[in-house]
Amino acid sequence: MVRSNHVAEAVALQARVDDIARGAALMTETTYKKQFIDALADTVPNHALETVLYRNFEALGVPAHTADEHAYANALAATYPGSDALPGIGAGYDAAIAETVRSLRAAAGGAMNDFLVPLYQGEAFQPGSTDVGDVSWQCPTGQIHVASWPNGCPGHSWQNVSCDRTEIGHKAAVHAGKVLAGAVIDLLEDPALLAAARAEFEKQTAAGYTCPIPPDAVPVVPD
Amino acid sequence: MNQNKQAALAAVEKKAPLVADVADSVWEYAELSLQEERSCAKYCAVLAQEGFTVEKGICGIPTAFSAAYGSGRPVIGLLAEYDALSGLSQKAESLTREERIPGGCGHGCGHNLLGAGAFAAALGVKAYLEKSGVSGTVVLYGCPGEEGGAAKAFMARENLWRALDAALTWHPDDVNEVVTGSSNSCIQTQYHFTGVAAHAAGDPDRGRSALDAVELMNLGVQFLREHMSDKARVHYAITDAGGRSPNVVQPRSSVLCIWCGPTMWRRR
Repeated sequence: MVRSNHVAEAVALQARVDDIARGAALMTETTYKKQFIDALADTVPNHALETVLYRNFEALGVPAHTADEHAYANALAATYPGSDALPGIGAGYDAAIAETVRSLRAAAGGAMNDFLVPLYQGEAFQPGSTDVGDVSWQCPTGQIHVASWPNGCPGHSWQNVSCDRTEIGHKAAVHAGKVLAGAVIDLLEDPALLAAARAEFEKQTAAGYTCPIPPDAVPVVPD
Repeated sequence: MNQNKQAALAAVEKKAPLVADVADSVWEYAELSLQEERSCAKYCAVLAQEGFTVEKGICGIPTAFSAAYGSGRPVIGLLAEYDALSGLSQKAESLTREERIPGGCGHGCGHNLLGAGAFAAALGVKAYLEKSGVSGTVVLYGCPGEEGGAAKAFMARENLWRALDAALTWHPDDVNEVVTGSSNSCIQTQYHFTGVAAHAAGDPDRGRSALDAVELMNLGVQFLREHMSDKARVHYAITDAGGRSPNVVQPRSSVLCIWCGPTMWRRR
């Protein structure tokens, strides 16, 4: 499947809004200046890399937590709504994975999801945006999530900050390091893996990458 | 798993205290997007100590860096982030909302861990390359401004990522999984209008309203919405309505627009 170049469509849409700004200035006899803030592309997934990452994740398992860490995570989970949400991308799209995750959560018995979600490679969309997307238009790119917070912990919350400086967080970082390093080592040892990732990447990005950053733009420190 | 790989993963475990130290330092610095001076300096210092070739300020972004080890192809990139969020200062390991620094920033997206985990991976790959003698280069990229600023897109403008055979990264979350699927494309642009101030009752004919321009612009965008892809979004915020005085024709006004691009994936 060839992806359409979505970021190019966003750039084209912006040009139409520029015309509206020009019209508004003309109607009111005012002038305007356009200030570019930032821009980023959608993410191109790479199933070949996902498979390499999953094999390593499976071999290494998930971080283990002590009774104290579980107690803290359970207590933290009691401070926000939604702590019983079904976790993972695959669970939102695939009924079988949702069922598996439900039983894995029940077996885990606490707020920490100390299990690996089965590999899911169907259609998926993560609300929000990230500049990892721009990397994924220029080379095959793969990503994992490692449990660093209790189940359902809201993004950009004080609970995240609190938990990000705990043994739970440290273990997640070290574990992520191992899974990623393991995957890189596999890529270094087996050229066929990189060739497959490249072939998939070329197919997915055949529409070409349009960098949404204008040639003269400089990074702006957000307000 | 072969011996060299096993040794490399053991090397990551051995470096766990250093990884935790980096994560905690960055957590304490809690610097906002594109202002991550101390966080970036910490990474550059530790990576140099660990034997990586460090270049600070790549692609003209002062708080970006690259740290390379090895030689030849393939070249694999690891992506580190380290920016924090405003208004989220919080005490560690606490079960209640308690600010550490009043009005301060905090790592509410776990980028202190994200960077440290990518760093840990780089250490592991270095250990492997040292021991195995296999050809290849690992580069840890310090990518500032993920929450705002989109440094990786600026780096893409320089075609930085095209030199890589692959890039890997991770993000803290509430679950262990391999990530798939897409995310939104986005463009943020601010339009600053300038008019002429005048007494709104006494000299209205001599005033030109920038606020009127912003209102007309928003109206125009509202009509545009019917005639664009139904997957695209245009959001806005009036960041400057021209002041608090209705009796002055507003000489300046600004509107911030965000385009979220059409995406082909939709939640079922």
